[in-house]
Amino acid sequence: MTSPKLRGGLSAARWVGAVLVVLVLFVVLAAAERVYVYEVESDVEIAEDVPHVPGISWQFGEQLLVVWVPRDVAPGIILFTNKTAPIPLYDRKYFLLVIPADAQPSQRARAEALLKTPDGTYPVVFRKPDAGIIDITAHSIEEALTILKQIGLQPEYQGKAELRTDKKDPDAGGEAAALTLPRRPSINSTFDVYGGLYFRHTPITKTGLVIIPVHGNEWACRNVPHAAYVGYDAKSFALGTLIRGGAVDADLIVEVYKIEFGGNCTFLGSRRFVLANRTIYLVDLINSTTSVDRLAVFVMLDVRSFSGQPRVGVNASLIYARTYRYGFEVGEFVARAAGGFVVHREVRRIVIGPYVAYDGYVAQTASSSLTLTLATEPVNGVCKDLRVRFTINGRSSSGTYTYSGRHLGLCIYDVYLPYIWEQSFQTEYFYAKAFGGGLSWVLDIEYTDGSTPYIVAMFLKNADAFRYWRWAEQWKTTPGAIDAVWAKPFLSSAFELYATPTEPIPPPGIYHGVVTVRADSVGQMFRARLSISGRYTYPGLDRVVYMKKAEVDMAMPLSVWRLYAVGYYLDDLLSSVAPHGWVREAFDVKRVVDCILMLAGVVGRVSGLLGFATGEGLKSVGDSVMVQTLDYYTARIIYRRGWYTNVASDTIMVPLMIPSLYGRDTPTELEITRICLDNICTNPSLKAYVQPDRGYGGIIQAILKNWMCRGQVIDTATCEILMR
Amino acid sequence: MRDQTVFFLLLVVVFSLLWFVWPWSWLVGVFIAGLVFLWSLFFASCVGLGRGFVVVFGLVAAPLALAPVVEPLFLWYAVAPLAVFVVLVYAAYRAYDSLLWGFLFVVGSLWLHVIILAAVDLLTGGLLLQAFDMGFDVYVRWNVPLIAFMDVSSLYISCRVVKLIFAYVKRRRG
Repeated sequence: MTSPKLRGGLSAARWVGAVLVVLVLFVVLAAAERVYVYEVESDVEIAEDVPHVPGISWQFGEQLLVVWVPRDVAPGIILFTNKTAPIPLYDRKYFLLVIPADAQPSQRARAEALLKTPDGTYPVVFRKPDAGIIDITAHSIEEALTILKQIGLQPEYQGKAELRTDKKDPDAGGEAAALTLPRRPSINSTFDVYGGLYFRHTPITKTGLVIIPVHGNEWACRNVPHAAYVGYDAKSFALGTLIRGGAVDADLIVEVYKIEFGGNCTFLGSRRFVLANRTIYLVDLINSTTSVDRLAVFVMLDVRSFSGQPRVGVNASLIYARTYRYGFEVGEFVARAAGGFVVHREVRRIVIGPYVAYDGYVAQTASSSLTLTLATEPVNGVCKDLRVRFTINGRSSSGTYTYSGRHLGLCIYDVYLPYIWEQSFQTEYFYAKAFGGGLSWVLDIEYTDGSTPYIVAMFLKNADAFRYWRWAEQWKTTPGAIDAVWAKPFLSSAFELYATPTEPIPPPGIYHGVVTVRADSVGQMFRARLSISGRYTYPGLDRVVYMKKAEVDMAMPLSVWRLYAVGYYLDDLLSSVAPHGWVREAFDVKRVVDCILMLAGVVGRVSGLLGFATGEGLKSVGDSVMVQTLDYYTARIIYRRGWYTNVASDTIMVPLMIPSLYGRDTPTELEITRICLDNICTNPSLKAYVQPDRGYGGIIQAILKNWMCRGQVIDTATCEILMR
Repeated sequence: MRDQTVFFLLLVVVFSLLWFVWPWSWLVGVFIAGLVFLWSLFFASCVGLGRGFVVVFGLVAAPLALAPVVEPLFLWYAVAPLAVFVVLVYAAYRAYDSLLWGFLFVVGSLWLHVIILAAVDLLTGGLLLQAFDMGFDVYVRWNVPLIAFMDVSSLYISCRVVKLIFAYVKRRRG
């Protein structure tokens, strides 16, 4: 029954409007395609090659949509917040598969696998996605159905299904097949290099076209503002989306341009996708064929409607082909974890990370020596065998292993990862770049009978969680910005550490440190630059303590004689680490007074307590950076925070002047043999390379990244024309 | 007198042990001031310590602690050793009634203790030099108590030896 008020309140025009809305809704619902959603167990891991059913035809061509949902969610400890939380575990063999309800597969198609569903069996082949969407990630089946509705589908959950191939399952005993020993890049080899492009998180405040600008202020094209530089030899390009704060009904439009001489761009083509949250899209316009020219991409949204205050984040994952020609274009990345944790609870998952996924990962070079000791409560007085499944980012498996415990009051398990599965690492690195994420180990732990262990404590051995070679002409210049694409190239290696602090002991906190070694181009006074960061964080207390001391031992096959270091804080002004104000004046006065006191035996190297207390006391008032020569080949760079320092910075930059580097004809290997951040020491053996002064076109390399001329920097004339 | 010296010797050593737990903050200035104050009293007690000297040494050491509050006082870190030296010479002058003897007593004691420290360093394979080179370190704390102990104990010996020498010379002179 309609209320008099409503009946009276609706004018004829409003009636027409209401009818129109109903009609539009009807049309939309009628247009929404009915799809079946199956919960699939597969015997093969799904990554970039996604399932297609030959012969079917719908808005995604022959492609089936893959939607990742967690296999299960279990209590776990995130070491680096030192907190327990429900941790979802995805599995590349478990997903939802979306197929049109009226799918009519070709009966003569040659299948690589069979999809067995309650509604019939479908032949399946695997290839790059027809319609661009590689996959979608959801937190649950319910959320998956919601996302599918948002992209205009009418999903119906149809139950479980199986995807069966005749491929061998590497996780069930075929581990040797998945093992590729990490290798160091060799000169003149060509390899795949993984990297990312970054776009600004963009708030959606209007309908129509909305530009997603590239991060930073450098545009790849003079005539296309906000376009991102892709460059030469890109083999694969995928975009990942993250929508937060609301919902958006829009299309994602990617335009690809060729960069012409002089910097203007010409349009090559575009792709239009339905925008969905946590979805990864393959942009097939960027491939080995098109990127014989330098390419750029421009990303925008065509927004139909939105609700809430949505912000759209877009990042790109790229695979490049690069040739290693000179012996200095690569560096290393080392991620480590160390320290002990008191747990005292039933835990099914351990998350070690996230580490930064530094750009430039060279395929087939990842390794790990992750080792930890677990102490659990015995069950009925015995130590049951423990099964540990190692996954990268909680998605791709790197093997499942069983460990026996030693009964020492508690059950002690020495858990170590024999080797990393390279393919899993590549897949997860690719996804990490697409979503602007990092790299973590997620360990799934259970007794072999399926029960959950009560973990008392765990200790992480000071070993590599991740290590890989990276194409070192990196994308990022500073943490907050993206490199100007062709300006001031440099090479860098990076070390990242998570550890538990031993001092101060309470309350529980976590130490996070980063050291980078950056080799600067020819002609610079400081050819090597260190950046050193470290901080204790106490998540529960919202408290941060900045690094107080750092030592970095650097070895090289040359003399470290007269190696000179200066220090700068990485704050707004990049201010110098040097005595200032009255402290500097005091040093000047001290020089005069000491001349007198030296005769009296008050000051000197072993002169006594009075000279020591006042002299060293003054020296340690402010921050200092100094160099100590350990032997002919090794120098120690020391940073000390003073006892009267109020600089709110956890990072210092230390340019190094190394006289023996000048005039070299061959690349020089710098090796960071030891790093102590505060009182946590590690021996990472981190390698970085400095370009020689001669013999490879160093003048061009000083202004251009090596790969921007495809490594052909000797052909200087061509390169100069190209980059003008 | 000797009991007083031993008392201050122990006080310096015990105070230096606090360095193991001393916070790395502006309070380090207080620690340095305390160390300088107690060391000065210890050395002065070798020749006789009056109440006035306690006040004077307190005044000499106090700016070291106050420097973080009044920054120009950081200059005092450069000047304080000279000031302590002058007051010690004055204390010795009072004891020996001669400025030259007072000066020689202080310088002689200091140099002899430096020689003892050098000998200890040689015997311990450079341990003392390592401790001195380490300076004030936020994490490595053992060196300060070691230096304090070695310094005051060697200074105690040197002070006694110089006093005996001075007594012997005075006796010879009649």
